[in-house]
Amino acid sequence: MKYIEQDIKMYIQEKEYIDTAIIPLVPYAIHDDQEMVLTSFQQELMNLYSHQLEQRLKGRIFLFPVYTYLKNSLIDNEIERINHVIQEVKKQPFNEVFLLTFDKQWRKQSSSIEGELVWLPAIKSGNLQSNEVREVIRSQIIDIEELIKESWS
Amino acid sequence: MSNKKNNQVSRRQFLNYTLTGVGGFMGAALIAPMVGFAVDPLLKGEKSGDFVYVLDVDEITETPQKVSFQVDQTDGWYESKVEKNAFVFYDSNGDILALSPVCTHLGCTVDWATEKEDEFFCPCHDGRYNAEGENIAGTPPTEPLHEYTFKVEEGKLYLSPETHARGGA
Repeated sequence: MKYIEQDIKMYIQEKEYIDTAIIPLVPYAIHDDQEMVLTSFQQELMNLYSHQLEQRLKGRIFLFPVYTYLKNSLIDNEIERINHVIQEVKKQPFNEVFLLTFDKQWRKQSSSIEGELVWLPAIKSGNLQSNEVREVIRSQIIDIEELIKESWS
Repeated sequence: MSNKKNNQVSRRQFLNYTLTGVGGFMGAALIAPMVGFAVDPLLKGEKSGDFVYVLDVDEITETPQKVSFQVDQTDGWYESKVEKNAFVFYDSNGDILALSPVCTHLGCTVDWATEKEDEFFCPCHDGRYNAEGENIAGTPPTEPLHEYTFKVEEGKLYLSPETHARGGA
């Protein structure tokens, strides 16, 4: 399910079946040109990953709107905000909350986050249409899918 | 003079008629393309007639094979390429069947023979379908897997991007 009207209406009726939340954590940069290039590419990549994942497991996962923050802001300050989001999400209720990110900064803090952090190694910039890149992405998506399915069993 | 006036169009009337006429044409020329653009997505309609080649008929077996193909999808203004998947196989009557992998419960993607050898299985809520794609009673799905319209030409199988529910299953 996605955060669009059509899916939300279905979600409200079928809440008992949709128990897993996905929140992509996506940084963006303004302070540095190089960082802008990097984060924008990762943003595109995350969009691809999360939508593919949503498509494959549509009936049980809920893809929330992207959680964004400035790349050069202190990650410690983000912990409180993301935990607040997670608490609200769990009230719905959602049993599992997965946070997807390419940003390494979160890893050090993973113990203080109230959701399941899934850090993915990002491929370097490249053509998202090329077959090799697609193959890499496909296998990574299958890995995440397995991880999510494990939490269900 | 008065007789003449009855039969003839006066200068004033003539100008009125011609200006209205010409003005009308000019207005139409301006507005028609605008209306055209405004309803453009409606005029194009669904491109359901576009069949896409997926595989040769002699490659089809009795075991479902997963094939993927790309179609252009238009959501109003937004056009994008979308990858679609299908399970293609011969059913027990020897007819070709091209099933959509979208679970009829809540739309997850089902897989063939992951849980049981000859069943389709949905990982989300353990939905099961038999080898013909019919939902197994007691599992969440309420109807059989949907089917793609297909056509065979010169030994090649083409699928339409549209799927439909299967009757009488």
